[in-house]
Amino acid sequence: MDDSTLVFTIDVKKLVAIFFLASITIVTLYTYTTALLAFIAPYPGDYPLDVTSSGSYTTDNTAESSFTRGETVRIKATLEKGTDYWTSYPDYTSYTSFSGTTSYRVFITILDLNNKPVKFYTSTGALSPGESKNYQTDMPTTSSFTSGTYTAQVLAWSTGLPDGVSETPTVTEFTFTIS
Amino acid sequence: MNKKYLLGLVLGMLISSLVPVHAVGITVSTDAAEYERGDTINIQVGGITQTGEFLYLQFKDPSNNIKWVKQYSISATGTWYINFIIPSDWNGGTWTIHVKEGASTAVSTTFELNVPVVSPAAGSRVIIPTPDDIEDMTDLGAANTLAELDPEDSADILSEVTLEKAVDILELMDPTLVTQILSEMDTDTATAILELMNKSKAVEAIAGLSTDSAVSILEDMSSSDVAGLMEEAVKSGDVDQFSEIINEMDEDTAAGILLDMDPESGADLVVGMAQNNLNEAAKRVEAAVKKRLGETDPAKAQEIIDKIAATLENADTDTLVDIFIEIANLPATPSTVATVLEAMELTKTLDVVSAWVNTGSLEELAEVFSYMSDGFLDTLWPAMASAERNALFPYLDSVTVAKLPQMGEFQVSELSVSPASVQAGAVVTISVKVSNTGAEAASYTAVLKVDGSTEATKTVTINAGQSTTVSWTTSKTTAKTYSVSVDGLTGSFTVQAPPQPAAFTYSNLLVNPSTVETGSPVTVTVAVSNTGGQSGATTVELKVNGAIADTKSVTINAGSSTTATFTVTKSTAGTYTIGVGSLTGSFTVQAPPQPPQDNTMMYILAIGVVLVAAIGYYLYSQRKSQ
Repeated sequence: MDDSTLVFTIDVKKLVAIFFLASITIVTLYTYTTALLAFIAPYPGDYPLDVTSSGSYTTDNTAESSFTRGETVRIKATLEKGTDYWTSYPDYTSYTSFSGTTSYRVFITILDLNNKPVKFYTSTGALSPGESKNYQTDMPTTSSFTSGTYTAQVLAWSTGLPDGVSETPTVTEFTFTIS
Repeated sequence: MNKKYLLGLVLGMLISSLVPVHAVGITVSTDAAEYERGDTINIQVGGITQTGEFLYLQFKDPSNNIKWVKQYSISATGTWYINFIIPSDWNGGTWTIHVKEGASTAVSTTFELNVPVVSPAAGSRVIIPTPDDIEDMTDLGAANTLAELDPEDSADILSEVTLEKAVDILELMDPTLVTQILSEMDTDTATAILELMNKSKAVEAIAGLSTDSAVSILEDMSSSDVAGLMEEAVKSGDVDQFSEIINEMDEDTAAGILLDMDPESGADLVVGMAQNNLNEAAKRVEAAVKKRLGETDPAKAQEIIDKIAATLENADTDTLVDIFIEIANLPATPSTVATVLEAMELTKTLDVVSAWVNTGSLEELAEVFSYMSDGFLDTLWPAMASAERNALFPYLDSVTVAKLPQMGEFQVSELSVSPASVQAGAVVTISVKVSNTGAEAASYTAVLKVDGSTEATKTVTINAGQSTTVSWTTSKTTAKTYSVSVDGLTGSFTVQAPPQPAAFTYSNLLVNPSTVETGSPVTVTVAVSNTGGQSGATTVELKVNGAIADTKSVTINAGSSTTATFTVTKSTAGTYTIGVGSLTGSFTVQAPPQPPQDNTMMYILAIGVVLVAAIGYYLYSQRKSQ
């Protein structure tokens, strides 16, 4: 045996200690790595549905954003399921092709100028790729409605909470005024 | 050495305990446990980590109905504070707030919403009327009064008035308000009101209810009443919502409703149910078919089968196939599908089988075939396209194969479609030559498809080596080109729009002569043209001074003309107006001039008298001279 040769003697106790420390090291590294990957994972931006149009109308279906108290505001929205989507991420682009039917619950909410809820509408439906459906709800503006700008939001979830998740990439929002 | 190992172990555990291995998840709480309407709830959501994901917020009322939702894009981690103003129309009781981050598990918290009962103060503008007050008001006055109240109060009052009065008042109210009031009533009262309400109003009100509430109310109504409401919902385009409702109803109740609906509306509802939830729809269709098992009278059992078959025949073939496959996959139910397919029109059954084969779900179809009767297989199997038979055959069990009819070898040729172009409603004859090229006489069912759908079938028995011509007649009223196929041979015919009916116009009114003496004839002629698309007859009326003086019947081919001639004779002098259709003319009748006086006879008579006198005088003078 020359001077450059190192000799390690591993007895049973050392072997147990090495195994134990190695286990802790592996668990720690795995936990850090998965947490890091979860943190930097790209945002899953592929949503099957889109609100392709929405707005306020008169009861004879004329687009209108200014109403006088006493009139009825008709809120309309069209929900469409696309056939495929491109989703751009900072470092790559994803292509998704949708198939099958998507069941969903659509919500239309209206807030007054103080962000107080004044109207809530919900309905369920199902769409196949390339198909669209229209939804509408009427809101009579009684004397309790104050003048100002009202905000309507249209969104669709897979179902209500606790299980529901969003089926559209954003909440569609528009405003109208009541004088 | 032992101490070193122990130290290493402790250090390792300390280090690992400091590592943040997992996110704890979000938490939700409110700034108070109780609120009143109009209060602002401060909702605190902690532990938010998933930047770029959505944060979902949802309120559920004491009846577990969703009453408000909100969705935020998460732009910052940590704790979020969300303010929410409680609307003035929310019900009292325990409310639940659900919050969820991305696809993680939702968390929830509850709060109490106190709705104080306030007696109207003296001089208050809002006075809650008694039921007797409402009874004494006009329906419209009562509706306006109740519309100003809290829906809960309106519900209490309307529950105390007569049912008929409550219905009359609610029918005058905004459907949204009607829904709110019905939601506050007990189920029995709401059910009784909806049974009496105008169907379209009832449908609007039910459409506004939560699915659970709608199901509770409808399950208390008779199936025939609910069937009527469902038919109205289909007509008004509320199929989606009512499909969800019926899919949530008890299967047996839903089956009874489907059987009570007219087949067309029932079919639309079944399609909507399948789109909403195929499995639930299949269970309810199956339950409808199985209703026959509860009938001891075979005729009534058959009525049930025929009714559901008639309903399903109206559904589109693809949806029907989806439902049947779903039913076939339910435990021990392929026989249900076989029963329905046998009860349906053969043409529709063939379309379903054809579409089913195309889906590739051949194991399920083969199992359904195993439950079909021998007699039906004798009809169905030969009527299927040979490609479909070949696709399905390998999946059939030996018992079913033994039941299949013997198939001869046939060749189909010489497809004839005559005429190739017809008027709407006219008959088109389609024929093919079928040859038995096999070694023995056999039957063959030729299937005629028009525009891809089976129009008719015909079964012929042909001796070996013989041929026969199979013919069908069909007529279509819609103008378009129709494709025709018979067992792979294709052709077409065109139906033209029906020609315009005969239409007549008048022109070139001539009155000749324009002036005549009394008693002399005047000839009136007018050209009559048929400007329509078909030959036709008309009666030409000649009016003299506005009164019909004469008529002529003429028959003229499309695009042709003829001349109608009238003769008018008048004995009285004057000017006469002539009218044929919108054309007018005139002629004048004059008295004849006095003829010159004729005195010839007088002269002859005078000469005669003179001659007689002269002769008389001569004879007298001769006698006198003798």
